[in-house]
Amino acid sequence: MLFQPCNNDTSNGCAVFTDQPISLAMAYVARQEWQDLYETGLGLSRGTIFAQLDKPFEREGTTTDGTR
Amino acid sequence: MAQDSTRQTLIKRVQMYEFALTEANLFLDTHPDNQEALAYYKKYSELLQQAKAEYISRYGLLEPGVMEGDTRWRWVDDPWPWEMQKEQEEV
Repeated sequence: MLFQPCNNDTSNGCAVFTDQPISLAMAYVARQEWQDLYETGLGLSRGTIFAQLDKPFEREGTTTDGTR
Repeated sequence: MAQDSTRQTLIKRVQMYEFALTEANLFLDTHPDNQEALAYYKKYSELLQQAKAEYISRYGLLEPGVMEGDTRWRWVDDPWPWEMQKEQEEV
């Protein structure tokens, strides 16, 4: 399930990909931080220098825990 | 052949740095004040210039053009991209 209830009761459920509160019926793209960079050679072969964006489509799509 | 592998190494370096800059560019478009990304961009811009200069000094232009003292349009002499690709697979 993409959304799951959060432990802190203030929010009305957070996305599994981000701890930022998300409202219903509004598209949301989590803000990317400058981190986890690949070395340039690896970046070229993976098609991104950001490990977080290295999400090859593997038949059933990215894993549900959002790490890949 | 040694000359080919050096050429492959140098062209690969240009490609790597150019790609890294494109990625940093995309990030900076949405994070214009990010100092780390800015420093990264400056660093790889310089590295790219050096990599290009080194490649060009040995093997000629990376884009169509005329170099100092050329008496021929050498652009047609260099290996075409698909020929480079073939060489890359052989190396």
